[in-house]
Amino acid sequence: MPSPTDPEPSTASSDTKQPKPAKPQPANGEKANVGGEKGKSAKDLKKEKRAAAVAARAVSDNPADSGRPSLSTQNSADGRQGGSNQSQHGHSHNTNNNAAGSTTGGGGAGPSIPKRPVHFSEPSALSLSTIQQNLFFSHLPHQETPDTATALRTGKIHPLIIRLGVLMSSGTLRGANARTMGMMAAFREVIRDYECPDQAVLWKDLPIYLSPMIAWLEGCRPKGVGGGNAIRWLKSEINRLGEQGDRSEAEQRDYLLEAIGLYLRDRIEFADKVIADHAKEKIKNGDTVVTYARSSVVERVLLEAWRDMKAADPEAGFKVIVVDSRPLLEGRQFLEALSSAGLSCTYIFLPLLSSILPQADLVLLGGSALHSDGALYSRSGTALVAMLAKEHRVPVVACVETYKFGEKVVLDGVATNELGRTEGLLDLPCGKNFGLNKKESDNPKTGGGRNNLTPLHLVYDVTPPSLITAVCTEIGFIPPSSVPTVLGKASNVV
Amino acid sequence: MAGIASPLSLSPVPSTRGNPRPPAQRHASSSGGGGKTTPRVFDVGTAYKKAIEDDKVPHPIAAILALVELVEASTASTVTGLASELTIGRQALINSQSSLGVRAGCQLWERFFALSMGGEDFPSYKRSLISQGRSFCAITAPQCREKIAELAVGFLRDDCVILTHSYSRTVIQTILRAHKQHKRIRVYVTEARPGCLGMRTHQVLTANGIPCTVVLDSAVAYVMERVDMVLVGSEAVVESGGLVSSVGTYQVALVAKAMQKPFYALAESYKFLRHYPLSQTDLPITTKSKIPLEFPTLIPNSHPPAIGAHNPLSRPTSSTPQSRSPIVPGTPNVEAAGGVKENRVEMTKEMELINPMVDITTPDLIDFIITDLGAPLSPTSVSQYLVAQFSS
Repeated sequence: MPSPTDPEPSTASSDTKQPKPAKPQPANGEKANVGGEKGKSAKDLKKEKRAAAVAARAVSDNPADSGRPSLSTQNSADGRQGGSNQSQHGHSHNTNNNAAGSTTGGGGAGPSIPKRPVHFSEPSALSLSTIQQNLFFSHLPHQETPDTATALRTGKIHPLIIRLGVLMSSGTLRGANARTMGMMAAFREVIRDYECPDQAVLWKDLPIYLSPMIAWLEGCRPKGVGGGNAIRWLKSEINRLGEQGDRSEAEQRDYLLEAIGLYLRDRIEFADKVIADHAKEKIKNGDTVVTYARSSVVERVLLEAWRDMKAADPEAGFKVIVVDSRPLLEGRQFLEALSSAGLSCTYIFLPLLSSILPQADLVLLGGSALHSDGALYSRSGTALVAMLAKEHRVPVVACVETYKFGEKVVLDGVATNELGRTEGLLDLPCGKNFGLNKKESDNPKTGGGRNNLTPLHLVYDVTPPSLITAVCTEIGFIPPSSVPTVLGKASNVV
Repeated sequence: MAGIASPLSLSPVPSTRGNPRPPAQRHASSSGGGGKTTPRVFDVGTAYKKAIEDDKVPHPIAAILALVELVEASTASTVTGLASELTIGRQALINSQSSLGVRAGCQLWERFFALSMGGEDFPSYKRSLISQGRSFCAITAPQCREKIAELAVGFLRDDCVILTHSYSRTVIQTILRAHKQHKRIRVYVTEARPGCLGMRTHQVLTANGIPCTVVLDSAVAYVMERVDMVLVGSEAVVESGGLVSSVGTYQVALVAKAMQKPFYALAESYKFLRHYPLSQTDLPITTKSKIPLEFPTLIPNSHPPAIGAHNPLSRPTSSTPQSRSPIVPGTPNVEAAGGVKENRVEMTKEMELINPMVDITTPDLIDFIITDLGAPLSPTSVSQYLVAQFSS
């Protein structure tokens, strides 16, 4: 809502700083066309718009450069509303910190929630969480309850995005595909609602408009390689608009909306379909397939393989062993989906896997990302499954869409990872309290908690390429060693 | 270098306007007039069989030849029509022929067809398609083998002992070339049951004056310690970088790996196949028989006791006494019983039939795949090449 009006006040307020672009522009316009604005050539209009946008951007860039894009609003807001806003803002910080203090006490998730939960490098004002005391993993971002109130108050973040952030951070929206689709769909709506300010050019203003939202989402939950690729693609698409020129704003917006739709369709939905087509070929009658945790692609593969096999021969079938582990227990939902479709399933926990694997014919894994060396970045525990499978010479197939291919090389699950919520980690399923519960352990104020106890939940781990037999992508089965080739091709195409 | 590999390149070939086309044109039009009632006057299968009769022509090339003939005979007047006819023909070919080389050839042709689509008008497009296909089969394909021999011969040292498996034209050509360079080469060749094509290799090599000894398939491990390197041909190279080759290659590779002898495979680039096998049985073989060496599931009641009574000592029959399926009915066992001469019981034809024709050599056992693409490729780069070629 504020962004359309943004550039005006900001240019006005910063007249002292940047007087030129704002002032001469109207003068220019008057001089050049006495006959009226309409008569002006489209090119001139464009030029002016561009100049104005540059000016506007220069102003709003300054605070952004300081590394707090969210607070950059302060600048313009202050310009508009004066001191009252300022004081209000300050007040909000205070309430924030108080709230944060109380929530951390309850949640055990750690540091105070900063005004924007984006910058984890900032040392938190309150006590360090137990996790952060553990130096080995202290560099990792961790999930925490996002501060929706502040985010809303900044007015820079579309409500849809805020909702999405909450969904992501609460774990309701989980899985790389679901998150990326949710994010891109939300951005599509945001772009639909977006109105380019008069003096700005869409392709320059839109990224600025979007960046606080992207940052907010990143604060709620790191978007991962797939989401990062999607965002990068979106930005390059917006940039391309600038190169093409000669299009009305509505056209440009329509173009973006359509492009996002195509991206979602081609890179995720169709990709999943093709992957399912490829992978189901590998499931034969009488096979036993092992999967770990939950993956939307694997679910689709299994369901389609089952459907096809039943259609071809009602007698045929295969068995699925769903391997799961605490604390997320994602396999349960997976199990639900499979068994309601009629598949015969076995549900085990990770420790039992080694005795099950000798009977298995195939291990199907999903993944959050596939790095350029062919390493699979997936739910923690996947590496263990792959390792055991290798030991038993069971082929391991990772189903990954190419949009999740990352150009980085990740050597282990320590350098890059995510810290999950630790509540529930110590709640033993038997319901007994072994004196490890958070109530006693993490009251930082008293300091009487168990300082020697660090509940640790890493969300992902890295499966080295040597443990993966094949990667199933929408371009077919490839060995993990061919990932760079695919990446190279993709960048050529774009 | 890769230019040779993808001779079916997009470059508009200066269509070698020679003898073949005018008659082909006439043929096409005439069959178009006559064959309206039966849409498929042309049988790819016979064309393929005719092509494969030539000893020099490998499976993929024969398949391409058959498809080129299909294009010649085609009555379609649009690219789409031609494409659908080709798809049908390709499917027929793949279904009727068990060789994976056929599949590789079909894939290559399909890709070439797809890439060269568009541009000129249909008749000239068809003409260039045919001429390029023909020139590929007639000129480029034999060149591939030459090139491989040239590259591979550098690996053969003077006075070295080579173990090869079964019969491969490329391997023989390489050895002969080394022989011509006055390298002293001795060759062990496996018998390669049940085809016994190793005997053919033996014939060719001894006729050329190269010392050659035939080794039992079961004696590969025995002879491996005297061997300097293993050199094998292939039927197809799959996307994992593995090798589909006549059965027994895998075990030769395993023994070679265990004894740390280099294992080199020779493969023309037209044998590259877009398929990723996860296990030995995971091959797109479309023959009517099911998975090789499956235990039968049905038990006909009468035969087992009878056979057990007849020759309780015979290993093969006693290991299949529970084997009584519709595929392997009582007849083979009875034959086996009848075929007992002296004390030796041989495998029956049916027993041989349920055995696999090819196996997959996993990429980790292969040191290099020598192809016509230039420098020898590691199995990994084969898959990279394939991904780059096909994933567009």
